[in-house]
Amino acid sequence: MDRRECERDAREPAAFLSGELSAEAARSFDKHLLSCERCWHAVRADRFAREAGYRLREAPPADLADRVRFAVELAAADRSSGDHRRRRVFAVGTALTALAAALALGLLAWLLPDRTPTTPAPVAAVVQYARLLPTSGSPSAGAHADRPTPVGSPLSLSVDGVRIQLSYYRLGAAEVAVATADHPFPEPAGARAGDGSSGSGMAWTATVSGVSLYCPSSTTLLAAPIGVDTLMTFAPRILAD
Amino acid sequence: MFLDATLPHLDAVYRLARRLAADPAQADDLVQETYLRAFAKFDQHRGEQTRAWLAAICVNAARAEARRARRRPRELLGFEPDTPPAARAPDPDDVAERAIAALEREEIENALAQLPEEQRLCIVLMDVSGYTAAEVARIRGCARGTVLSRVYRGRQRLAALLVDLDNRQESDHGPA
Repeated sequence: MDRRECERDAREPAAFLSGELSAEAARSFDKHLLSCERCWHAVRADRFAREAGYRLREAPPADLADRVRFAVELAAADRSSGDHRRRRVFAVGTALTALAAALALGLLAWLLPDRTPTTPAPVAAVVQYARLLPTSGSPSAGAHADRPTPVGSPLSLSVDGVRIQLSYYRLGAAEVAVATADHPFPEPAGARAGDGSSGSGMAWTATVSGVSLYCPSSTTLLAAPIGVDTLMTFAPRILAD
Repeated sequence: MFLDATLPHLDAVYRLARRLAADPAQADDLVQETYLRAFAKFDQHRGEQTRAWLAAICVNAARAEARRARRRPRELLGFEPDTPPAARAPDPDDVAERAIAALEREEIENALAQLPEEQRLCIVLMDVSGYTAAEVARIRGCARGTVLSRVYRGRQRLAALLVDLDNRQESDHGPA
């Protein structure tokens, strides 16, 4: 068949190769291919380009699922401790009597400090990660351990445009999260200079939601659910590793 | 619940993100952003066609990022060639398998970048990411026939570009 004679729909080759034609239409098109040079070339070109597209398929990095899981868990934790909690308190407040509403307000006042709204998002992410660590039964035992042992694979995360790599180490009975970022970690409310005095210096410490933080340099942050002093004693060995 | 429903589609989302973002690190960020946006909207998701729903979010997130960065995204908008590629149909009977094997990924990426945006996006969604024409229609908000038409024209053009490239390489390396 001459190329000009074929009046079949130009979409048929793509539908045929994608397996999207009905069985009857596919049989008909298959038969047509034997006699139509135009469609034959179109199908070959279509297959050629499709296979070139296959060449671009890439498997995701091994740690991407963990990264996504963590980011979603972080968002879920933030939602449940923030908007969701306030919404629920509000709903309860509107449904109760004036006395119950007063109680709800009291409850709200009790909840809000725990939300720590002044914790910058990158720091909050590290805190959330550290909260997943087991609380050490005997932190002091870690202080005498010889070497920190890395646990698991590092996890990469992007929070508010800051790229953070999270690792964690076991040191004796304690486990410590170490975060490195491509931008300085902002200080959370209540941060104290690393030497223990208040004010802003390069090194700082803080406690957020029961997690101790130690920032020995602007882009490195250690976090663990142990005492700040213990965390600071661990830092040199972990960071030297 | 959310992760159970969406993480099985991570491969497809990543393949798409990899073509929409400029480099692997940005692709990782785009995947994370896609999942965070999806999580925020999960209450409104009716639970059907989750894979296509995630892809639509990914495309929108890539556009938003491109706008935010105030630059043209490499893959979404790309550049329009000054002159269209040769309109001739390739004659791939003898060269197709050999040509595909010889092509570098970068060459395919460059050829893909020369396609008009919608053709390129449909090919990325169907051939690179593995979505069906029906899913792509849902993602792009157009008819399935439109998707097939775009894919068809895009593949014809892509094949012409790649065969042309292969012929040029052959003449460069052929006997003097």
